[in-house]
Amino acid sequence: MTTSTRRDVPGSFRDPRGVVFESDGVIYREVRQDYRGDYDRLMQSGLYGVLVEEGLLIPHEEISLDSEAGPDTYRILRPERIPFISYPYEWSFSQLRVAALATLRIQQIALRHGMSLRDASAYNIQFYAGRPLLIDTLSFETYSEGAPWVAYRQFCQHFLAPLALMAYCDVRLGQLLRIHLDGVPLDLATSLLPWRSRLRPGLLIHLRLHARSQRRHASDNGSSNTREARLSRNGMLGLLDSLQSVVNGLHWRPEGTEWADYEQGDSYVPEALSHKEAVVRRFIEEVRPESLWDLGANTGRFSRIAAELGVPTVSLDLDPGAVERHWLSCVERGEQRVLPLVVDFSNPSPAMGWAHQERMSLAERGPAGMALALALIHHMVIGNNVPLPRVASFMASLAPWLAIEFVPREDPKVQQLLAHREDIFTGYTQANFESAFKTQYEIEGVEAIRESRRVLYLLRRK
Amino acid sequence: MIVAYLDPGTGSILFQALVGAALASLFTLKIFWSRVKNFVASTVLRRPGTHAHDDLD
Repeated sequence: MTTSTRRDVPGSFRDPRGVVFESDGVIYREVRQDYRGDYDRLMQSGLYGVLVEEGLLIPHEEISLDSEAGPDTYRILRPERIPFISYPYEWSFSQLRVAALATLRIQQIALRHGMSLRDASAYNIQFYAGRPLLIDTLSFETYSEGAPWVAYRQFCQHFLAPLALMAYCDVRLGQLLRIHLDGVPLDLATSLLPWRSRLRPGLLIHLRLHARSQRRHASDNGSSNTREARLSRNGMLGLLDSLQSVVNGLHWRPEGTEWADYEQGDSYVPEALSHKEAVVRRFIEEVRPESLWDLGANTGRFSRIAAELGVPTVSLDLDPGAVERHWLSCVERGEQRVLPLVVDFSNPSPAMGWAHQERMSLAERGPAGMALALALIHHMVIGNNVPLPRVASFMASLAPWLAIEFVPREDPKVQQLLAHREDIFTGYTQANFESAFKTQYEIEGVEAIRESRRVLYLLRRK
Repeated sequence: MIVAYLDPGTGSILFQALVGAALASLFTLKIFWSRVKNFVASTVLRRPGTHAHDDLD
């Protein structure tokens, strides 16, 4: 059944009842014959319609694609394309929280239609037009009265445990999801959580007592009879309601983080800032890219310009506080074109999982139409000791166009980076910056920022 | 019988059976209480009630 153009998406292999593949640049989902009953129920029970209408499930079209159909194929679906795939370890606290709440809401609606989620993976949720959306159409199975929720463990590991750790210990513990691809093990979460987390009944039940039960039955080897385990429909609704309450009750505020007030503390005078905004706007207008990555976006001041120009934008920043603020401001403004994510550009998300192929690296998810690197170069070269030519070549691999700000050595922000270290960066000059980037790019525009010594460049990859 | 393509975890399945009855009772009480509040709001105080939980059959 494989044709020359078909390529199964490497991360789609766990569920034998369907597979995601790409053909001629279009993403398809194949529904296999053994999922037929559940798929028909999803479509005919009204569940699909309700979830799509509520913006909780990705819409799809059933298409006939004979060249791709095999004997096991029941249907081939063409889901709406998600412009940028992001992963839970790149989400800020509130993004993970709304993804958790969306998952619970979907399960509640599914139950009303006689179905239940058979997985609750955070990777099945993607942000689309500013909202969390379930992208795995085959996540549903027919609900049978009395059956426990098979995805309960996964929900607690993928959502509840990291959220509790971020809220109660340190927001950076969300990065545990980068190590544990099937979510944070509950025994690890409970060993890290402070004693006061026990005072919240939801965390006591769904993390501590749940972890204890897992430990007790860890060496059962099937001797415990899960076949007789029953959870009434009301018990299931109670379980979901309890999870919803505990997730709703978890909060984290970005006050006091390293960068959260960075913008206010910026070294720009107002005139310089407005000139910089005008130049960035002009550069984006000149390029008119299909998409833009804002590298080091902070709270999104410049991403917003791209969004205003109608460009779908992914805004990366290493600081979870800045990204949280950015996300909350996007929600408040109903911003649909910007996706803020926690990514450290000096250590971007790698390819991970089985055969390094389950989760894509940042670069694999490109290229973007254009990259924006404002007030970033000194952090790479001086803060992180990356030579200028290497910065240029990595940036050139991400997008054919680059708007980049050169921050000179005399700038207070550079001086701050050099304050307590030996200055081994004598090569960090504007001339060397230009010659390093000229090996990769043509210079299409240069503009000195007024009332500042910084310079903005518009570069086109050779 | 539970058939899942992911391991639902023996401890996680048995745990749900263990806490299910308590969570069901709490949930029923919560529904009952929200209905009482709605009834009072709509008949005594003449305010439109809210339907926080419409999941219970």
